Amino acid sequence: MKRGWKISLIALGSAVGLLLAAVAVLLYLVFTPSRLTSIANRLAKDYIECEARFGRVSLSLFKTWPNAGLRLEDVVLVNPCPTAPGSDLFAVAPASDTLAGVESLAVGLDLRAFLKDGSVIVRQLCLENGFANLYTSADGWSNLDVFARSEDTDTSSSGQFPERIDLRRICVRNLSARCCDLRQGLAARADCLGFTLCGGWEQQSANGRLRLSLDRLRAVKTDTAGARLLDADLSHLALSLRGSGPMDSLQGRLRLSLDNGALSLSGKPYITDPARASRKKLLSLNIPFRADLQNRAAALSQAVVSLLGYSLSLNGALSLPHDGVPLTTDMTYAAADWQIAELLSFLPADLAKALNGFNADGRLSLSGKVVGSVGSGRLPVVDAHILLHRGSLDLASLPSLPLHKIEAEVAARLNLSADSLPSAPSDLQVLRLSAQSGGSSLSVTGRVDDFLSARQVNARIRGNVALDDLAAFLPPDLRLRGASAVDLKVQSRLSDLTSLALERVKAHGTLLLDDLDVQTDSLHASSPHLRVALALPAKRAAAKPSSDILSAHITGANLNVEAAPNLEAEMNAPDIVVSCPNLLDKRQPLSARIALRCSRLSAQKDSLFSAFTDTLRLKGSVCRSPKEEDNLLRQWNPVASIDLDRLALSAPGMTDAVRLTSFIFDFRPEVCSIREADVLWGVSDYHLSGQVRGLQQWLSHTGMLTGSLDFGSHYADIDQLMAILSGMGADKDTLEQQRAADNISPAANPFIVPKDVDLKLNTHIDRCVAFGNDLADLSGSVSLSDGTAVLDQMGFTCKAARMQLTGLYRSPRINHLFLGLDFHLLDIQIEDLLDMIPTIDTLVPMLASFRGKGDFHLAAECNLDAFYRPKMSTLLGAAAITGSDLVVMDNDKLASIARLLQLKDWRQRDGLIGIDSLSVEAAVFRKEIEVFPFLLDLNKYRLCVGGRHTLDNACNYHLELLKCPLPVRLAVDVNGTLAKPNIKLGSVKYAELYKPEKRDALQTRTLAIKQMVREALEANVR
Amino acid sequence: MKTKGLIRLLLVAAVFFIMAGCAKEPATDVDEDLLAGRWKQVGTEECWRFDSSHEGETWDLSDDVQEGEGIKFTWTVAGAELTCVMRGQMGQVVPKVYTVTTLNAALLVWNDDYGNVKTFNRI
Repeated sequence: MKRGWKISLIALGSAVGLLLAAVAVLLYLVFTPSRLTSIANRLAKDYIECEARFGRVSLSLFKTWPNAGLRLEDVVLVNPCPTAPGSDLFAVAPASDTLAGVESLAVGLDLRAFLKDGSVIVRQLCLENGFANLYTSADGWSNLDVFARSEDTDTSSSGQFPERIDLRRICVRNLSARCCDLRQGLAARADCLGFTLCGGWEQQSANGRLRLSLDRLRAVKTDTAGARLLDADLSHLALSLRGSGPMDSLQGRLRLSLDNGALSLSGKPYITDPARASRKKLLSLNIPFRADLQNRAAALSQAVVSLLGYSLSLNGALSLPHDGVPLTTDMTYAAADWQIAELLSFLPADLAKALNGFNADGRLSLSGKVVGSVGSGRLPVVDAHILLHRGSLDLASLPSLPLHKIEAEVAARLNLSADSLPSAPSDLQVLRLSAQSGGSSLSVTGRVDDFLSARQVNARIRGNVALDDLAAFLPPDLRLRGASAVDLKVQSRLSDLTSLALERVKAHGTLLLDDLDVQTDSLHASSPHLRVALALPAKRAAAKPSSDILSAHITGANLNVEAAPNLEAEMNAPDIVVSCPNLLDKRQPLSARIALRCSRLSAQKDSLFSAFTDTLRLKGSVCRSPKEEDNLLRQWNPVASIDLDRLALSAPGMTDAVRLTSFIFDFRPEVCSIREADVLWGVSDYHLSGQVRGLQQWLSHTGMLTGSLDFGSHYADIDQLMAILSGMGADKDTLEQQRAADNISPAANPFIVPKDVDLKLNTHIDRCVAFGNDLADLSGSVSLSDGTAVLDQMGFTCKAARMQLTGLYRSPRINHLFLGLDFHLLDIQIEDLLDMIPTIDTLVPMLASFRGKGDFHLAAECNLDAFYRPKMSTLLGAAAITGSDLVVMDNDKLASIARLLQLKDWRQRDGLIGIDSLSVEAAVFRKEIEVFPFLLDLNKYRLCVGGRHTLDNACNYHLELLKCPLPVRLAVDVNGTLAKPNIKLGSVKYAELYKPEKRDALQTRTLAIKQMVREALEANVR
Repeated sequence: MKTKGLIRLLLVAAVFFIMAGCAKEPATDVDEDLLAGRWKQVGTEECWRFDSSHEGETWDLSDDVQEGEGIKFTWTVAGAELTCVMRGQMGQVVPKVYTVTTLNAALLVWNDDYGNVKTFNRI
């Protein structure tokens, strides 16, 4: 550059500088602050209707650089309120007569435009240290109405967006504002408000930036009654918004930070004390966006919304409704590591109240997307993928069962649209869910289809459950111990599951129980291992409709059961199928059907009995009647069919075990049917079949036990049977009272006929032993009827004869037993008869001298004491003996009698004493045995014998010769004792006894009595 | 000598008949109304009850047999003869015939065909 040019430019610049300095000095000298202040105050009266004061107005070059401007200081607007306010809103925004006060207000103007065409264009505005008090009274008066109304009536430009905006800066620093609108019930107060706004708009392109900060914002809104609808107190709010670009692609970022605050709606606080105490930012937004302002759409990228430190990142597009297009979103969201316990503590009281009763914790992560439009009944579809890590759940209702180590992964699709297609319902898929509690762990996988309406659950539950952990779910008197492995599949509506409507639930699975121990007040069951297969609804036969909905198939190695008092049972290889209706349905009686099979069962009760069986098969059912608490059978109404092989039953008092080789038994409360029972007991064997009725009533002492049983045996020990049956059904206390009242020794243990029993045994016994006698072909009926045992015309044979016995035995008192016999022995060997029944020798002493066969009829009764000793005062009997071709054994007494009667050649040729026929009737009354006169044919002699003896052996007999070769009638009296009789001749008295035409009254009466006795006896012969 | 012997025989016969006549109590007709009631044998616990319906019962307290537990019978009287027909529960019939020698409000005496005498007091 040439030096001349250089010098020229410097000179020009200096001149311009000097010109500018001169202008500035001139302006300062002309537009002095006092002059400008005066001008401003004068102009203010024209434009401001209230009192307005400008403390100092000066020109500003540097404050508004590069624009020239005015600086107004100490600006005050005073507009007193017309009425004294009395609302509590003034606690937030007190009334004041000063509308506004500004310490410094700088306005930068476009000087060029002003000089060019006189237009006033504000380029900058900066307000510092000001305050404002806005007040609107209840009748609508506002202290802000202080500006004079414009006379410019041209409104053509209003409402039109300017084509160009170039805003260098609007800044506000340290502005405090109060607003009280009594008409709206609103009061607000902002402290230390500051913001900066700059930007521009030109040719459909915008560029702007807003920064706002606020130390405190207090706002209250009340209703007409004065109740607070809104009460907000926010601290440290910072907002930053910038954007640039064309209107259809405006890029920018919104940042918002709110450090702390309180918010109440309708008196309910929504920011809790724990939230405020957490010292976390109450709200934080960082939203980068690309906006299409024309179409009201925006795309977010890595936007983060954070509330109290819990962040949610958003990506995607959002379109606001316009031109009939609804709000549309296609947004993904993600959140990570939310601390549930802390989050729950931040919940407002209303929501926290709904969560009362449980504490939860864990780390929650979720992600998903929201796609769809909003409006006209449509809502977007929300997809969510939820992860829960190290979760815990503590329910107040189950304090003993806290869940911990919860790990969950859930995917959900939520379609909230009212017109959602059935093909796209909301669903929830549990990819994995596991939890632990105590010593138990459970995992669940599955899905819930149509989550918003039908909620169809299809899940699989697996886990290991320590049965102790179930105590909270069980009745207090039921204790479970052991371990179980659960594998259960469930298909049901969720509502059916929660309402336990089991009849509409499908489920099946297995339950493996180890070291099971079940304890109730009256039952203890244990098993080392059991497998339970559950099925809901119950498996059922197609031909058998049933209301059962649950079935369980239980198998295992063995099962031990102890029932109070001291009943123990052990079941080997149990195979039990139980089915029952809905146990939770209170409308249905508790019932169950049971099919049981086990390879071996052993049971014992104290020292009373023990039983063992090989194979047991049982089918039955129970149905509980709650009203029948006192009677076990009525309460449960059991029905059972039992089929078992080889049952062994033993008891301490039994020398031999009872063994049932087979036992098929049908039990119903009204009737028990023994279809087949083969019993071996010692040397005895029994076959039993028949029915017993009224067991239920009998056990409750309200009815008789009745029945008819066929009782067969090849060999039976009747004494053994009687010992077992003794006292069955009798009231033990009553027996003991009788024993005490009668002072009966405990050694006495007589057979007590069962009470309240009416049983008939149709017996057929090949051989038996009874009271030490061997009997054969025993057939007839044995009846036990209410304390009376009856052997009804029982026929049998022994070594001596065919027999027929009708026996009657009662036990009204333990020391007063009744025994009655109707005994007929046909074709009897007399010596065997005496051997079998030695008492007959007492009744008819002379019978011991006879040999041969005869018929014997005896009907007798006697009461016995507790030791079976007869009470002789009650002995009453009658006997008849007939025989023919008998032989009388010779002895000294007979020889003495024959000698006195002058009998010659009365023996037969072989030396024996033969008797053609014999017919004796005898009667027993107490100790007296009366033998009615009977005839003896001895060869060519005929004797009549009669008399009486007593049980203490005193005798008084008369033998009279009725027929002999000699014309004499001799008689012999036998007195004294039977052992040492005094035999001497006596007077005849039977001479006319068998001559009807010559009988006297005594003889007639004697024969009538004899006939009466015999006819009564023979009437019972079958 | 023969005369003395005959006299001795006659004396013996007379004494025999006199003694025989004195040995037996004279039989008395039984008054059924007097008989009805409970009687207890002297020196024992054996009891009898005669009902006016001609039924009765006998029991022995020394055997721990109480009234109601004893032997039931029906009774008839013919002159001095009292017939008790014991009917057992097994169908047996045992008639007993007694000759009443004394019967008044307090005392009952009977004997049987063998001369056994039983004396009862009313209870």
